[in-house]
Amino acid sequence: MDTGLFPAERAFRAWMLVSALTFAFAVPFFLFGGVFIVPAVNFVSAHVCPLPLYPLPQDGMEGAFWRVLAVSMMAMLTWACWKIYRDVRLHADLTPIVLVSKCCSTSMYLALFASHHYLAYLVGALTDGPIFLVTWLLWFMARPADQYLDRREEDIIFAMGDALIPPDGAYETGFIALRTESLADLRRSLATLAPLSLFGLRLIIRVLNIAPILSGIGRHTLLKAPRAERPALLAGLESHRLWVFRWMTMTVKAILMIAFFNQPEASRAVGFDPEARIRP
Amino acid sequence: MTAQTHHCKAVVVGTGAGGAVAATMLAEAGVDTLILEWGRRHAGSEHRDVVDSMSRMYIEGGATVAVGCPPVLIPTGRAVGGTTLINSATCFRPPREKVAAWGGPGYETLEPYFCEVEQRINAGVLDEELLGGNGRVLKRGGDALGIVVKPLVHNVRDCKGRGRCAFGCPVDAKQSTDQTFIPSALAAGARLLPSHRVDTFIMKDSRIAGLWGHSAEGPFEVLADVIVLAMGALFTPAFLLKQRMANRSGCVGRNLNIHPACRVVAEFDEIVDAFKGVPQGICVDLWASRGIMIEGIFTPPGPLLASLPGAGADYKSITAAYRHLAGSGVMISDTSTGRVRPGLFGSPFQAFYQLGTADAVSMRFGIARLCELYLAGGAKRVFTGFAPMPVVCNTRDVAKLEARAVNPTDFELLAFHPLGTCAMGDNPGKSVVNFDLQSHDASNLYVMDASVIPHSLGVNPQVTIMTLAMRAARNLAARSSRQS
Repeated sequence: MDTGLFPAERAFRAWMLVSALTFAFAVPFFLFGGVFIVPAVNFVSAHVCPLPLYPLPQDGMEGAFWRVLAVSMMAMLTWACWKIYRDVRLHADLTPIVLVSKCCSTSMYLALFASHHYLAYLVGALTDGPIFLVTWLLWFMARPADQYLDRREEDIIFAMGDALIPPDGAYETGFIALRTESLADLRRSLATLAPLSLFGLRLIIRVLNIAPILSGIGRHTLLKAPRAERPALLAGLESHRLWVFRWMTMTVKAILMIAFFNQPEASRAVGFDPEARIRP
Repeated sequence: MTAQTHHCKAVVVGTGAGGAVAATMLAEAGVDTLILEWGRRHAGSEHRDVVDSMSRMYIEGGATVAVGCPPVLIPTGRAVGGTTLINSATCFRPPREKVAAWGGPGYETLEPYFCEVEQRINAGVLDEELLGGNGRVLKRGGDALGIVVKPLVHNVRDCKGRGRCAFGCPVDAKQSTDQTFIPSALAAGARLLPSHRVDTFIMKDSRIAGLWGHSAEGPFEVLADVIVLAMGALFTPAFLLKQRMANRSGCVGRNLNIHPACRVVAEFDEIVDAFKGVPQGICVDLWASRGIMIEGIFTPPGPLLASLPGAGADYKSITAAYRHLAGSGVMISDTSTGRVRPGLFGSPFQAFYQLGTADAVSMRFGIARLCELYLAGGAKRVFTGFAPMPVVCNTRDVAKLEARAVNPTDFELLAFHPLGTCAMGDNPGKSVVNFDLQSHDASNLYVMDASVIPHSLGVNPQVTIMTLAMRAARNLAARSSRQS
């Protein structure tokens, strides 16, 4: 049942049902019709594009040997997708089975196509590549469920918050001391975002982690950098000559600081009085 | 689940500056009117902290963005009252030359409507006392330079100067439409359905017969003779494009103006306490003819301090100076335009906007003038929001800032006034609605919100939107009564 699931989880669950049915169909298709696949692709290749024809297996038993492997793979993927569809939260950890399978096949098909130029390899890459991408995308969006950010993204924003507002200095309160409350407020904000916006923000957080390396201002990610170096890295990104780094840094800084200064202790520390007024 | 069915003569979608006024005029003219609003009703006592307010009353928590280089944040409201609930309560009549450029009803024709709108929302010049520290320091700079810094006209009643206009007035002093027009509409017999989101038109014999949507209670349908869309310049065109309606001109969603703005923050030795008083209390319109307007802007710590540069101990020391800060915005009457498209994957709309070089030059000019005003007022440093020169400390720095090459990506842009995406005009090939705000393509479809304003105004648009909606809705009611 998808009652109580988040929109991203419902989308992922629906995709798993489609995947399970597709892989289930592939089991008898490969078992009984697998022998026709390569000739069919060769037929297309011969009529549509000037690519060499894939050599057919000389011995029928050799083809049968590989078909057994293909069928067993399809059966395993069917089972994994069906389990995830049945309970997307309980069995989401099975998703890497699908991802690893499709990532391996896509990359190997591409490598083989680059070296041998058979259309069959390109067809394989164009089939499995999108399956890999869509599955990864929907899994990435669905994984944190009602937490909106996953553990790694939380670690990145905690590191950023600590670098922005360290515990010592002009006032005592630091981000880390209020990280639980700030994260709760951050989640309230994230709950209002459309799935696509939330996906974009999570990507920005992850890219920002590796931005010191991408931008050439550091040799470590934000998380791996020594704590004392992080403020300089953030300041460097914020004033970087490429606007994309500046904008990403300011975006995440904004959501963090709005959540942090929303805590009464933090806003009091800078002298804000929420009850202040000109007239009684 | 069975859809709940509502029947009415006119359905108005949206309760912001356009929708609330339209619904009130129709109801007061005796037209059976139903009002649909995506958001819910909020009382002043509910407004607590910034995150809470933004989560409840802003679309996507205030994170709606127009895609471009750089992306522009365009916060818009989702509540009974629409964006009037979270705007700064600033009232301007549109400049005469802008009204003349529309080619429709002239300024004199609109003047009685301006007066009535201003009277109904209690628009008046702010008391000097309410300007607070944020107004005081900028005025001091203006006095030193011989530049007039004016108190703005605001729609408030018994304002306490709580300094939180953009997050919902905690004492209901702001005369947003949920305080003014909506109660009048309800008193005149209109029905309001909050938390009702519209999904599609209902079509019958190639004519729009009503609207279909959903609420927390389930799906609903509204069957009406007249449909008035007033969902704002971002949502209305996205809805029309998704429905493939009223777009024979191909203009729906195009011609997006947003009044791009940049925030400038100044630090003083003295305690300013800019959070006490009306945040947007003053303006400088000396450069309005160049399309540049300077208006005060200040917020509780989070949104303001997030815009200041730096990290670590340096940044922390800047944030510690919160009580010494003052802030204003430079707003451009943009010549650049963008477009709106239907949203994807649950987003209500997609907006695209690219600031042009000419507007970027104007922005740099405005920032430089604002820096001069603050420095003349005694600021020890000014945070410009201009990437090549983020901090200036004296007039030599300002000269350097103006000498820097300018690129649209140098600014941290915000925008609060999306306009123009269903432009009015008398040429059906170049506009979406006529000057009665009636669709050129569907005779019982009206658009009465910011999207009909065909050009950038250069001033805050709520009075203009209300005025156009008032005139159009009265004309509609008169036609309706003649027909019946």
